[in-house]
Amino acid sequence: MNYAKIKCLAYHLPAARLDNDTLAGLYAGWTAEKIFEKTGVRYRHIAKSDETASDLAYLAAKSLFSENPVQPDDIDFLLFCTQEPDYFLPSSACILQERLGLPRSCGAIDVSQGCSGYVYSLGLAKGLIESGQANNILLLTGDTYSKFIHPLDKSVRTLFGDAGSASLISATDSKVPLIGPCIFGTDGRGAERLIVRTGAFRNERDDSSAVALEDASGNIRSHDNLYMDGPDVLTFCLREVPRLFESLLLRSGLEVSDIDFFVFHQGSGLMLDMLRKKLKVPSDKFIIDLEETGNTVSSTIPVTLARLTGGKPPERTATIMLIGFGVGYSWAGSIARF
Amino acid sequence: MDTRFKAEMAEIFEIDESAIQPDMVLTADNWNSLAIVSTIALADDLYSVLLSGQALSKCKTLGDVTMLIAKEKDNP
Repeated sequence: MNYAKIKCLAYHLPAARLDNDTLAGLYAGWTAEKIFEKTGVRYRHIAKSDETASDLAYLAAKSLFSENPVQPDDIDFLLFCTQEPDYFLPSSACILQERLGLPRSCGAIDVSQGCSGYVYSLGLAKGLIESGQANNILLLTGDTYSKFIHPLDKSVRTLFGDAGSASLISATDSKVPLIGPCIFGTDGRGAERLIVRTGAFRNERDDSSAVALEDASGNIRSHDNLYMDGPDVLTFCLREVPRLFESLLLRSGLEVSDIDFFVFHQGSGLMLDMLRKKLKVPSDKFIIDLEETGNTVSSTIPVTLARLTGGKPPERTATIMLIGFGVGYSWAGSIARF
Repeated sequence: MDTRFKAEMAEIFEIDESAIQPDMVLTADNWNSLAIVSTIALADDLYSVLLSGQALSKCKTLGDVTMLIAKEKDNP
């Protein structure tokens, strides 16, 4: 068995930054400090109007290749996790294969999943490697939620930022698994709670879908914009994440003290604080790192991992619990030795 | 209403603690999605009760919220 391992990581944040002073100027009764208190975010990086999620992933991959002893020729499979593809067709992964100069013998697919997407993709990468179908997988993530957000919808504009990431997942000669168990879950009843309703085939965009209205909380958006039911999303997370956490401990036979770091989807500061308290994880092991990036959807886990480790494996192998959860509703958890 | 609940609710609504009474009308004081999120967090923290956002948004007074918490405590 060729056990799969996360070998190295890199990420890319767009240059433009949106700060809390700017947002406070738009939202009556809000100060920059109040926005930070409620979200845990000071800055979000925002993609340019002509910059797509695949551009961010491309730049992350270029960093990965320039900073590590791996070359495009080594890659035999590309997974690109995004929910903002360049086109309906072809897959953005095919475009990235060509742009990055990956071999024509390389498999390439998009994975359409959001906040749980990195852990889902890690499970897929593990499956491809450990079943002998691939040896070096370039796992890219990229999301640009800013393009969906109405400027006057503070419920989401204060939280989300844009980013891309690149991870190399490779076969090793390890005698023990280095990724896993992988546990997945889905509750499609939550589909309407975190959604962009129009733009695909169920609801087309037209003049009426673009009409922006104010909701009961004073936020403004149209059906073409991102909608998030914050209370319902929080209840979902507080219900499902502790169950997933317990299942991971049970299936892995590990205890909290055996795990070096807990890197969860960086949804919001409030949510992470609550989860940490509820799960009784010591604060030095429970990584909260969204102050300078915001919630970057499928990229939060790899960006946090890269910032925690500098993108390279630590001197002593670290055992890290990864949990992603959100849009879908969808969730996934795993334990990685990095 | 216990003291910590009252103090935290006063913080959520950004009003004086003396105004936190069972007959307080929520919609008069910013009963928006952020306040509801904060109340879900508070109920989970203080009472280990997971409230639904939809049920909370239907509450008219603070007394309705405490009744909802009591109901969830009895029938989790």
